[in-house]
Amino acid sequence: MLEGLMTGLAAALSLKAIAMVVIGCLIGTFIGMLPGLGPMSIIAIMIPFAVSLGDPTTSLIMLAGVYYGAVFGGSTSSILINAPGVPSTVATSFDGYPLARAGKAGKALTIAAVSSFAGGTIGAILLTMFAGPLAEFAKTFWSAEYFALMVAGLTAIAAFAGRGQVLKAILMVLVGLMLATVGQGALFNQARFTMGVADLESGVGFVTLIMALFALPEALFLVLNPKKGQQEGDGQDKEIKDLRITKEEARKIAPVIGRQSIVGFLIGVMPGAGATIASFIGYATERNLASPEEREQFGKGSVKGLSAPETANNAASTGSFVPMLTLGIPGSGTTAILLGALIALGVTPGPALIDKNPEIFWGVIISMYLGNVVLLVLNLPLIPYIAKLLTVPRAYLIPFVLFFSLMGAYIGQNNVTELYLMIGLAAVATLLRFADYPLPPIIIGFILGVMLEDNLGRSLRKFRDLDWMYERPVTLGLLIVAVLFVLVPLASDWRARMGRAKETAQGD
Amino acid sequence: MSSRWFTLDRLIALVILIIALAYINASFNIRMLPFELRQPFKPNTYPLAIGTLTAIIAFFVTVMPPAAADPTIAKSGGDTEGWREFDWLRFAIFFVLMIVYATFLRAGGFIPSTIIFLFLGSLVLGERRVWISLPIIAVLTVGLWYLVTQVLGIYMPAWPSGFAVPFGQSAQVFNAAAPLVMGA
Amino acid sequence: MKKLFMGALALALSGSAALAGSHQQIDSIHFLIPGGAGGGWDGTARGTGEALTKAGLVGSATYENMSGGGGGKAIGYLIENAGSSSGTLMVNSTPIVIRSLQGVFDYNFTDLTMVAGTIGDYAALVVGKDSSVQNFADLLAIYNNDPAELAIAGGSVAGGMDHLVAALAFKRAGADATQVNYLPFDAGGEALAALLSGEADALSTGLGEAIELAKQGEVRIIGVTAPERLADAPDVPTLKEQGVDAEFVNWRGFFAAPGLDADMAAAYTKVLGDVQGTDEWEAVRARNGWVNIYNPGADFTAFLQKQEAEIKELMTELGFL
Repeated sequence: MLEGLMTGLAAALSLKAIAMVVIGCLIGTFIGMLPGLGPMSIIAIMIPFAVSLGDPTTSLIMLAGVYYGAVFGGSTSSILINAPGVPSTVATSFDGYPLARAGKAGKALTIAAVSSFAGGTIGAILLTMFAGPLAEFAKTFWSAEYFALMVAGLTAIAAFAGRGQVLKAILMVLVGLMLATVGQGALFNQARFTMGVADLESGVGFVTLIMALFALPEALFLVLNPKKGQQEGDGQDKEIKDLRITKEEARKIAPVIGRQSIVGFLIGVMPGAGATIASFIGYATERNLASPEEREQFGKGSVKGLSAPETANNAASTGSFVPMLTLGIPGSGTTAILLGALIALGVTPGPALIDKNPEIFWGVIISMYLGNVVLLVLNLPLIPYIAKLLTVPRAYLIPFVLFFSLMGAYIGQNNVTELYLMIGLAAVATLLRFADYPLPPIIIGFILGVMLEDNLGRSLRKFRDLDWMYERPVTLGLLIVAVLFVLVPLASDWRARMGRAKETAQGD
Repeated sequence: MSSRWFTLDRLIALVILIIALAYINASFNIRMLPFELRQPFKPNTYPLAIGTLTAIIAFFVTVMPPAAADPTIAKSGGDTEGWREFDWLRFAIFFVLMIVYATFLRAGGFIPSTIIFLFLGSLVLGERRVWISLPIIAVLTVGLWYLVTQVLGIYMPAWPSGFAVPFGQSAQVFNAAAPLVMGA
Repeated sequence: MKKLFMGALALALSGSAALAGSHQQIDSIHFLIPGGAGGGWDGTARGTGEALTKAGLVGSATYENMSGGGGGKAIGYLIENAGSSSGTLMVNSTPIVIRSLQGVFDYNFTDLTMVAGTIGDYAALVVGKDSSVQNFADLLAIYNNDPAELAIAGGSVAGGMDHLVAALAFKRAGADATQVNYLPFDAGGEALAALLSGEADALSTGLGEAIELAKQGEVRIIGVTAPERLADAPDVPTLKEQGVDAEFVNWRGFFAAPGLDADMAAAYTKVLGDVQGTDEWEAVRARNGWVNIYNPGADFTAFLQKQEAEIKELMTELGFL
């Protein structure tokens, strides 16, 4: 193994390769900030160039730089303007945006960068050590297990079900599930619930919905209530750029990073689960493990709530390389595109890769370490400047946020109907906010809904009954975990309330 | 008390209830292919389940007793306080602006439409220094258009159709190399 | 640093200079892509455009993504704007036939000018390496015994292409093809994972999707829908040689606006054929693992009509329509 790492290192540590990873990171970070252009499309765009570099290791290192850069760029727009461009950074915005709104944008970006780095690096270490056995583990997952995993992921909505709001949060997640059934799915031939609108046949676009629910209402709220933001923003220029994480915060996020890099990685190893599920499950688990006081902070600017999904989604992205490298199966859209790049370079991923092309196998792994390090080194000094974007005068910031949101759905689709849909949904979202309905559960339901139905449908076709829910141990285990995710916080809240009630009773 | 009972959130829950019923109705009307009728999991199996669940929960939210006034519970959306004093006019103007922008984006070309949208937006928000705002907006718009179309190779007509094209819809002969040259 | 990149750029561009001698046949082509950036249609159009321009056969190429309606929006656009679209080629593939039959679109491919089929992929039936199934006859035996026991995965919807191919094979083997227990997945890769995990007993997919793993001995291809064995995969048996007359090719090709001037249509047809002899095309083709099946103008039309008739008959019988 060490020998292999050395082979990879020798190939990677040329001046050209390092220059390429730096360039890749920079391009990835800046293009990744534009909503609508996620890692997948950026890599697709960069492949012809990477392939033209000739040497497979250098190409892969360059693409790894682009990839990690794009993932970080996506987190940046989630944190700064509540505009997650890809599903895997949705959970990042849950606590990242409230932190930025409280004037701590620099800190939030730093936590994101450090968590990404740690998740990616620990993931790479796990990949280095256990790629083989993990591939076997991935093979134990059937649709039944994926279904149970989605159910566990849905419990992340608990974070948005404040007291007296449980039913509202459930209602919102159901709305998300219903929205997810619109259009053509993977199971059935016919497009459903299109109401005769041809443009709905491909469903409601992810970017359309997320911008309508998150970015647009935020920007429009600043139009509605200009005083509100002003009070928050004033006199905080210094803090916005401040990167420092306190010892207290470091102590809080260290165990989160430790746990979520492992859990996230394992989820990423499953072909078809991926970074988004990992980020939601990471968010849900950390909320459950937190003390009741800390739990209250989730969704309002918790450093744990920011670190958990950022660590998990990066670890999962790394994990998704396991099935690609060892089985030759692309586990995610991004690895499918990278698989294409490998084949273009004359390399065939699969069980024989490590024997036949060890320099490629180890080159890929080294490129992960290198990509993560370069990203951290490159972006930490940039964070104060990126965070300063928030100090741009309102008269420019708001129109630009609206414009970027609209462009996110329009770029690469040229479909104006998506824009009308987005504007209409933004009006609905604003109304829901006034009525105290939490919006994140809609997007959680929307993202997980498709996979929930697909995996349930496949399992029912395969087994023809529901016995698999308790007959398959892993499925049963995951479903029990999901139930615990819901019950444990409820029980501890109830105990806390009982305790408080007693105190007040005695106090009176 | 009675007027406070029928609050906005109940109204919304009622609307969701109606939508859920319409959704259930639509689920029954999904056109099924002959072979699908024999399947255990039909195109409307799952929609019927979630539609019914939605209707039940929406019903409960509509009729549930008002939450007891608990001073320890801060309203989560505290930022909606004082909504009567909000700037609803500007809010509406922005919606109109976005709709008009979406409508003319294709016919009017990306560059003119975007510049006008951003310029009017900044004007509405109080930026009166046109000699500053216009150049900034124009440079950013053209720069972004260049990045997206010329560098990334994504199609987006810059000018109204039939208009002389100063930049040219240049060929994507080697689109991926361009960002590197720029990056350097 | 700048030098380095310019060097890399020059290196990359030098390939295109080699064939600068070949003369330009068409000034520019505007490719209309009925799906979003990054999909299969997108890759086909951009790859074809890259080869055409680099080989110097076409001066320049532009690409417009127009997603919506499962591809129907772009077809409608091309028909409605036929007058101003003489410079436009739309990419499409087998699903245009299937979806037209299912009434997903308001239009049919016959409403367009058929330019040429350019690349394609044969379908394959695949089992895991440890499966007891050695050939199609073994698979058929299990199916005839109890179709519910044979879960067949594929990368398209129930009633879609992969399902259709599996049913076609059983039908031509004389079995009742309506009982196929088909598990639909989002993409071919996920279906392949289901085969390896044992959730699916067999897989119906494109040959290109399975061939590399078959070469490494991880899966076994028990039949391909080609008329005869392929040069790229001489060890893979065809269904035909096993006595099952099931032929199917998933093509990708190009269409132009209705009523296009015959000379122009011929020029497009010719340039798409000529490019296949160039090194630039070979580079793009190898990168994407495409199989050349150049099928010009009138032949393409005849081929499509035949495919439509066959698919229609099969789908009606299976209850897919």
